[in-house]
Amino acid sequence: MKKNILLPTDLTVTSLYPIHEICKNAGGEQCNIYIIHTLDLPTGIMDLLFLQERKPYKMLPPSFLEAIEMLRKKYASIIHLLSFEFLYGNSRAYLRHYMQGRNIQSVYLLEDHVYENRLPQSVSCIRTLRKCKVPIVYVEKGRQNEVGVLTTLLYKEKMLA
Amino acid sequence: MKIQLKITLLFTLLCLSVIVMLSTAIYYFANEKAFQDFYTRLELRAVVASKINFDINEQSQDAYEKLRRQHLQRLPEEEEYLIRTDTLDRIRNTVLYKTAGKKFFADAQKDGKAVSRHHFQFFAGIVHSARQGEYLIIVSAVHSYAQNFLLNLFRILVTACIISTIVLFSIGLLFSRQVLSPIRNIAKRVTNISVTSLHERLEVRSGKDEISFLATTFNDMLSRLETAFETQNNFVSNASHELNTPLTAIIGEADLSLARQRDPEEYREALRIIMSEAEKLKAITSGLLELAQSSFHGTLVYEQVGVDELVHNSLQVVWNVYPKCPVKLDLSLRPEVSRELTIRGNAQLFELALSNVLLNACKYSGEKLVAFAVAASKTHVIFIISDQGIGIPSADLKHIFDPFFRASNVKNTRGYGIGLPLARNIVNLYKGSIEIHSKENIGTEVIIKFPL
Repeated sequence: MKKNILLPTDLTVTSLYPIHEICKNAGGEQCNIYIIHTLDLPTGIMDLLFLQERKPYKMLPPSFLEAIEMLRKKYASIIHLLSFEFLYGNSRAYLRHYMQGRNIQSVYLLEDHVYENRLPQSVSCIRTLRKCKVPIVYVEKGRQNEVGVLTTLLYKEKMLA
Repeated sequence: MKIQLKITLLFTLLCLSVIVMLSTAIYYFANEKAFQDFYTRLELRAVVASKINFDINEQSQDAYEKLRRQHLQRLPEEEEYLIRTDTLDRIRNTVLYKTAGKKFFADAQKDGKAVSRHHFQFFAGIVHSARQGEYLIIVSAVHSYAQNFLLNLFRILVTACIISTIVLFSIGLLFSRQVLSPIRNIAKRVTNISVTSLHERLEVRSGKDEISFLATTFNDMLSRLETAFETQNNFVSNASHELNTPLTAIIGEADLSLARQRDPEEYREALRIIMSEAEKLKAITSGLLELAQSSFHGTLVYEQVGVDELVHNSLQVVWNVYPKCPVKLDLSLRPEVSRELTIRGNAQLFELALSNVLLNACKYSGEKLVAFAVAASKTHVIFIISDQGIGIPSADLKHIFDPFFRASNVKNTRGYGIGLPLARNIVNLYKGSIEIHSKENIGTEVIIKFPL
């Protein structure tokens, strides 16, 4: 049976680090990883009418997409599905419904990481996810690096030895 | 002749020819068609004349005479002719016949009435049958109003043409200057780019117009020139930089062997070391030569290079130069299929590029860890070299690829400012990319990508 994992991100490479942990904890099983970023659901009728669903995807940082590709190659045999999608809305009911629909077993979050709202319409779902009755696994951050883009995706130094 | 003047003249000529054609048409049609009412007036006078001269009733003749005197204004040079139609042949040599024209008399006989015009003298004639016989009554007058009107119109049109020529020329000049100004700017910028400022680029406007295309083409050409120029300029320095290490090893080994008498086995060992160093020397020389040649002739060697082997060799080079360097191969992102992973290009040049960046990382990070990670995306193989060394000041970051440039915080370390430009040249040759993220005293991350 495949594991289904939810990974909320703030569209930074750093927030993809838990994928290492997810694959390590997979125990030889294949897993489906759903990477998500929540956006505010427009409330105005005009906004809803002219909602361009593909538009936010064009605003994704190239390094973020590249990092997903790298991780897919790295864990080719473990990762069965590695998908990214924007979710509209951060209500508990909606998130629970989404997770039920995909049979999510656990949510992975970075410890001590401030999930920022990168896009103008971004909205945080971390607090709501914590209230959902789903196991949350906290992962320690990888290499601490204030400069690098991809370095934050590397293992911690002690793991290198 | 300047293109600007050419455009202006062409523009002026085109517009002026349209204006002249229009003016001519206005003048022609005004002259031909605008005075039809004058014929009607003349015809009316001819009818009145026929009544005065041929009416049966004498009282009505007087009444018509009175009407003419009181109500019909006398026209300039108004003349009245009564000619019997059967005597028309006799007036052939008269001024009237010549000015009114043969066609006028022919029309009058045929249709009973006719009109004609000689310059501004207008003629109208009607045929009247009287008791005495058939008469042709001709009234002629000079249309002085038309004369003045057409003269004024002519003056207005000529003045308008002259003024519009001046206006059109000025507008044309402004317009062509506006159109050509981006080209003039490009020429100005290109003139300022000399051998010492080949890194400068032209400003490319957004959009896909011809000027942007020209600027992009210039920039591409400048990039090619810069690469070629730098490669040529740095070749000697690069060579000495790269050849120094094996040469030192060879000299050291030879020196040590010659210091005193040694066993044949020791000599053999020394020679083996010298041989291996000399081979390394040869490989580097051929790589550098290839770099120099490839930039100029565009003939690049493309062979499949195994990424694992490349990583191993690059690390070996680093450990040879800095045996104590804590560089570690980071497997965090190593693709599962890395053994089959290959990139197309020249192994020695790739090695040179990677080892140069790694050597810099080791040189400037003291005892702190340097991570060397390999990753792969769909289209690229990505090498990440991350250190926690002295970093690069943000002001120096944009110059880091300039040949011989050394950051302001590395004055106490030996170096030539050649490693990174050389690495960048190699990366550019194989259509890769190199990115540097750095903060002073925190560390540096170099990302090198080569297409798969």
